[in-house]
Amino acid sequence: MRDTTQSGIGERSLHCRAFHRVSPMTDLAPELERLRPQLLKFALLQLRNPTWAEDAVSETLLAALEKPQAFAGRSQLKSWLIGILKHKLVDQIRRQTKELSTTSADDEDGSLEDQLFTQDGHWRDAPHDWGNPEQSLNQVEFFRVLEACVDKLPGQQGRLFMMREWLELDTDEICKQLAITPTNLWVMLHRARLKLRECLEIQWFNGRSA
Amino acid sequence: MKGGWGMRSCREASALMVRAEGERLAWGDRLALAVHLRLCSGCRQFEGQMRLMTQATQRWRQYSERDLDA
Repeated sequence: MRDTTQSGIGERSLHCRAFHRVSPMTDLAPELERLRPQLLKFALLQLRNPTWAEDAVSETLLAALEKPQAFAGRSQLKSWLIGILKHKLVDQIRRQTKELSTTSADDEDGSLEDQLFTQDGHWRDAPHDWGNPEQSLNQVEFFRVLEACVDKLPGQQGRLFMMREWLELDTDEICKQLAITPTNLWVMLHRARLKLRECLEIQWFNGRSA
Repeated sequence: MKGGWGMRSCREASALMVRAEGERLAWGDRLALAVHLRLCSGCRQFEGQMRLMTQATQRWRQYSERDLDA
C-alpha cells in the first residue's frame, strides 16, 4: 500500500497533493468492484433483503474509499472489507429492528418438527452415518453446498443463524436486535440446525458415507 | 427410547444440544440429556453432526475472509 502521509506538504504543489490523496482511491476502485459480488453474497445471506444488502455493501465500499489509508499494511483486502461489512450489517439490522420483528411471523414453520419427529418426539428417520465428515472440510465444493443450504433457510431463521454463526453475535444481542425472546431464539436456532443438517445430509453426505 | 426419570424425547434432546452451544444447561437438563444420549444412537449421531456443522461454519467464516480469486 502506498504511503499517504502528508509530510513535506509545504514544498508540494496543490496538484501534487491532490494526486497523492486520490491515487490510492483510484487503485482501490477496480479491486472493490471485483470483490463487490462476494460482499453482496454475504450481505444477502445475512439480511435476506436485496435493498438492505445493496445498502450495506455500498456503505462498506464508500467507507473503504474514504479511508484507504486504514487498509495500509494489511495483506488481505477482502478480510478488511468483510470486517467493515460486518459492522455495516449490524447497523442495518439495528435500523430495521422494527420491520424484522414484524416479518418474523412469515416464516414460522411449526410443521418442521412434525415432519422430522413422531408425535411422541422420536426421529421419524434417524440421522444417517456421515462416514468421515472431517474430510469434507478440506473440500471447496463442500462449502458451496453449505452456502446453498444456509441460503435455503427461511428468512428469519437464516438471519438468526447468520447472526450467530457468521457475525458471531451473542444471543442477548441477537434477541435485542430482532426483538425476540430467548425461547423464541432457541426454537428458531433449533429449526435452523435441523434444516441445515437435513440439507447437508441430502445434498452432500448421502452416498459419501460408504 | 421412552419413559424413565426425566427422560427426554429426541425432539427435546436435539433442542437441548443446540441450546447447550450457547448457554450452560440446568443440571436436570444436562443429566437427562446425558442419559438420553447413552441410550439413543440417533441422537448420538446428531450430536456428532452438530459438532461437524459447528466446525464447518467456523471454517466457512475463515474462508469468507479469504480472497480466493486474488
